[in-house]
Amino acid sequence: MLPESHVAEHFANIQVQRQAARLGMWTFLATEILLFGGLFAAYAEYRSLFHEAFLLGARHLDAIMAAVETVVLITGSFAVVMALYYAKSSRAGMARLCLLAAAATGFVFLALHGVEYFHHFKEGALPGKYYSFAELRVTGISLFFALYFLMTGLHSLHVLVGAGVLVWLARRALSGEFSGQHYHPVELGGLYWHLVDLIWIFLFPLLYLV
Amino acid sequence: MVDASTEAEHGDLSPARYAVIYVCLLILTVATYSLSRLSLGTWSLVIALVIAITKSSLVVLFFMQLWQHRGSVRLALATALIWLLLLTFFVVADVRTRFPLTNPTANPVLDGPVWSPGSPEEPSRQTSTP
Repeated sequence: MLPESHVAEHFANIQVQRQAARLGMWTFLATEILLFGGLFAAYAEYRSLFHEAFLLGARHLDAIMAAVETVVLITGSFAVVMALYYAKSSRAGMARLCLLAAAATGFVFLALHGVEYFHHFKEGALPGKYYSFAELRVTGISLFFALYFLMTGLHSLHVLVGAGVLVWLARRALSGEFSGQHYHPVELGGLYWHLVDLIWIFLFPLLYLV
Repeated sequence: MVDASTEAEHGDLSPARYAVIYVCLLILTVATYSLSRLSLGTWSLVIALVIAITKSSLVVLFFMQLWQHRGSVRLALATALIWLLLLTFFVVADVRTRFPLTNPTANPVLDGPVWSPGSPEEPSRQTSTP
């Protein structure tokens, strides 16, 4: 029989509750997509206006570093998927390990991004009126860096929150609370983490490659 | 009542299948990086976007399990994507079809601290000379 404590009073059964939680999370993720969507639209607008600046800007950014960051985030996503798998099979130790591994990839990503930001601060490739990088002078380049810092900055903030959520889930997993019946906290936290990965899958080529 | 074990396993992929998708994502990452190093002009943006859409579809369908969760959750994602497409399309259509002087490219003070009149890198701006 179900561990009834996991089902709130107003839900008929755990499947209904799980579906409600899932839909709630996806609705939230839809608003997240639109939050980033505004920035993607701004990117499209300024890229079409300042084509040359965006090409030169992308060439200046460290694409190898970004490719490594992509691999790190994808690895994190894979770890989260495995965490959900182990949570559903009630293997608390493995679930916890995978969640911590995924959170670790988030912190590695942030550290790598910190290195990138450090280089840009040092050379003066900053947004808007703070732009002072003498080697790259072309109209619109400060807009490219404004978008670069806004998009990657907002994304990094999400990585930080996501990694925090994963650590919190790892703590809960240790108590053996998750099982084939009760796993939706891991599923929802995982969905958030995949969204962070998803956004980066688009940021990587748009900012660093093309 | 659905049995606990079958209910949890229903529609889930095995760890091996997840690993296959993970490897596919890594291969596509290497592919998008390598292809971007070739000079393909306008095609590079198209190729990069096609690969990004392929990668994100793998993540959404299998890692985020939309392959098995049909109905309302798919609707939530589809709604967001349609709004995003509408927003981007009309914003770009607007700036591409305007009278040139109303675009910020026609504004010489836009990059005040950076822009220098004698700079060889200065792009052509026939539309503006106020």
